[in-house]
Amino acid sequence: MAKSNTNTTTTNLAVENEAKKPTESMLGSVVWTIIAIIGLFIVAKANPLFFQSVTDDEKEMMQAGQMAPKQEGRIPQYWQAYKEQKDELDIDERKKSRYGWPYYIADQLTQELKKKTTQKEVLLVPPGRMFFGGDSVKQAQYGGVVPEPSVFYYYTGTKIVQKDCKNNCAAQWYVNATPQGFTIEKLNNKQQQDSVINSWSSVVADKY
Amino acid sequence: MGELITILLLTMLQFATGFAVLNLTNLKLQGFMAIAVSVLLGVAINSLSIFILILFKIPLSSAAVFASILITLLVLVGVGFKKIKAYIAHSFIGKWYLPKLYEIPAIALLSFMIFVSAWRCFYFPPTPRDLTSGPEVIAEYAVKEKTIANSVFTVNLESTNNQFKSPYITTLQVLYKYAGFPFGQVWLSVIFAFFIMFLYKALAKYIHPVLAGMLCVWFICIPEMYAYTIMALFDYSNAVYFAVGVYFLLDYGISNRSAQIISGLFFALATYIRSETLVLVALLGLIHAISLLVKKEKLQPIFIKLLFIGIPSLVIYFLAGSIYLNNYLPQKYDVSNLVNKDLSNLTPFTNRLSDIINLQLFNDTKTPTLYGSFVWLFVVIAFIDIVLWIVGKKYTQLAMHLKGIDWISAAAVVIVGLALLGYLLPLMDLNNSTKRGLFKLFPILLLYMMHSNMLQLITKKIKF
Repeated sequence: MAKSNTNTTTTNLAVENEAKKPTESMLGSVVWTIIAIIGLFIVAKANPLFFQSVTDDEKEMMQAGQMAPKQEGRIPQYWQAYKEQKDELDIDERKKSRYGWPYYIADQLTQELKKKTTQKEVLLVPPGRMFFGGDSVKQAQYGGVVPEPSVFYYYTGTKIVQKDCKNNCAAQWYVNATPQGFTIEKLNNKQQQDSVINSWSSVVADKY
Repeated sequence: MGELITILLLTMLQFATGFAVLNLTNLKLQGFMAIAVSVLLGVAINSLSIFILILFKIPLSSAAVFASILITLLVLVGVGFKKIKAYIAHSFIGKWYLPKLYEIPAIALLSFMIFVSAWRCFYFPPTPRDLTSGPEVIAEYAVKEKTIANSVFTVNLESTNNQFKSPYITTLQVLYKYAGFPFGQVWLSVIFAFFIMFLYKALAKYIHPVLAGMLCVWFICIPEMYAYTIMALFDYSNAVYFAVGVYFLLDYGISNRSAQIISGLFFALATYIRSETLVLVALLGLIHAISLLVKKEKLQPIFIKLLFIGIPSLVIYFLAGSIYLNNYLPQKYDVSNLVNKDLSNLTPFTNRLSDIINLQLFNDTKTPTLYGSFVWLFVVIAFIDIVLWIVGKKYTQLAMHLKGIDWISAAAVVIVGLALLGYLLPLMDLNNSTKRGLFKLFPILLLYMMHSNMLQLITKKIKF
């Protein structure tokens, strides 16, 4: 180790050289390894959001209300998920599990539209809440938001417009949604389109 | 298995491309540091190669895309061919070493955390709405229709302006989709892995590798940043290229022209990814120039340094931010509507600055999953450093220094710069744009720690 004293300026370069040549003795290596393990343990404890593990017993106790809720860290959580995901590589399943209801409804609407027409026509889609009979609580449970037109197009290749559309909004079909299901109906003209949108507005104020 | 081989081949190609650039600049980097910087450069240069195809209106077929990145590599190697052998020898021969026993725990944990992130990045489809409503949907149809000006622009796009984002992600998504990854995205994992390698090697240059490893793990544990190593978006990459630019700006002397060129190049890439980074580069240049003047450096070299770090960013800003947006997309983007018209009222600036500090950085009670404890780690280390600097000369055998002050200035530039951007561009909201913009802060805070008096003292004094 180079000696330093108070009369000379310790440059970073000097320290750099020190860091490049850490103690090489076997004992030193072992001691530093122990320090590394303890240090990483402290880092893990300081970041429970990443490393906190929850045992099966603890999960059962939490479910039974015998223990305060404890969030499992991301790393153990993601590792558990990996062990399941590595056997499920189907592209569509991966999309469904990630996107949830918005992807599901976009896919369903597209399939139904394809039964009605082979042309690339535009679909007028109601706010997600219409699929839940205007029940916002139920809608929130399902994450029931209809994707915006660009995302809908990404999911399915189908062009849609929504009720707050301002320019180039002409659609040839619209979705008649109820809590029991939906049908796709023909739109014959702009007046009919406006009338459909007005009927939705009486149930749902915004586009969601 | 096929995907793994593909990703390895692409990464090797990116390494070769970036290394060819390093060779041209003659920047002396060695071993893993040379690899990390090369790969980071290579990924972004791949994107630029495809961007050039777009600028020349060449159809984006798979043949054209792969030819563009191979031709770029050949040109870069060809231009520096005479000296590349010596450069390889300097960078790699005799510069390899196996990790020491005490490095293994941190390297193992870092690798595991990177793997978990990379798996989810590979497994799940692109998620953020900012991606799926813009760059990703454009990339998806660019692969089908061989052009970036594709049928997406015939869809009703009133609800988004994401179609006007930088071509950085779209081009990389096109490349990786052609390479056999239906969701693209894994370029993000490559950037993540090699950025951590870069940070580890940068820190271990000055402080003990055990400390470097612990700090890197803590850095990865910034919740919001880790999330964006899984979900592709602009901000993580932007932070990476900006931070590497800052490193080569601050950590190399004023006479090191190679470092200035690389710094300028990384700033340009950060500006390519997010055009508003230009404002931060300008502010950083200004603060750095003042710092050099205080250190009694001469005016001319300072001016030349500023040109080297600033001009590439300006060029790419006009290319990707202006020429591309106005001439290559079917829709026009009226930026003038986005700029604050009431510049005399500074309240939005002061409010944003206050919100960044009080609501985002230091009030984690409302949002415990935002930045974790990393900011507090920095505060504690910086505080001890100041104390050591004040009392160090009396009570230790070491002369304490204040080299970290440059890094704190750079961190301040990011915070003030983001507040300024929020004031200039009201569309940059606190909870999305500014929140993710703050990613640029944390690598700078981490790199400050390599100049920490306390950590250097531990490195120097603890011997077994």
